Amino acid sequence: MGFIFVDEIVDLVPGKTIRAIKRIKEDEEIFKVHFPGFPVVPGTFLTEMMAQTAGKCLDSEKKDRGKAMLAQVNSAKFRRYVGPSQLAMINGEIRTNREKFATAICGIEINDETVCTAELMFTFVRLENLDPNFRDEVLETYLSTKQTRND
Amino acid sequence: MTHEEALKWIAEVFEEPADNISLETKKDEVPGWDSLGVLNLMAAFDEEFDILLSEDELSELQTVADILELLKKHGLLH
Repeated sequence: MGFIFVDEIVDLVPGKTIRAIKRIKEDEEIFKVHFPGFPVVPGTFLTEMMAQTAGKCLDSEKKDRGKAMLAQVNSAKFRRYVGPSQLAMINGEIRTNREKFATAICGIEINDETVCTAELMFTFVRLENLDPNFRDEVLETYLSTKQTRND
Repeated sequence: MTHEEALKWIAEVFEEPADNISLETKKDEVPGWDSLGVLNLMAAFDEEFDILLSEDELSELQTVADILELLKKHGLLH
């Protein structure tokens, strides 16, 4: 598991809601140390999955304010251990969406069971501060596929 | 809300003990009143009272009394 925590977007209403998936493999690097004999995805990783997902929902609006960046974890609850070989369904609902900040309510389901939830706050970094070659491949793949379907 | 409730609300927004917040408290005296604290204040006005604060309103805030004035201006303080 690198630091891209979203494999694929399955549904997206820009600036409003998003559903995405992350396939957690059996041999993820993190499981070698977290923890031997009891492999479990760290809560920080689950939080990052939710943040990246909601961030893509905001970024998909393509507003001048820039790229969404996680600013605050208002609350996070981890209800179940998440281990190897799981398909995580990540949900994000944007609650407030303004020029300076946004908030989102997020959750992750595995086998239709909610394993964690969080309320997240985002701020924005202007695109000129990022590498000009930066691309969000997951988001661009979804948008291009959707465009193809609509054509 | 009353003055007392407003002071408690401000303390919660900046995650500060209520005892540390009074009319005389200055921005510099509240650790949580940083750039993230300002975002939290904006979000609290927006999500709890449906009020979108302007840049001018935010930049003028230097003391807790200023926030109370802002609450009063928007009809939230009695």
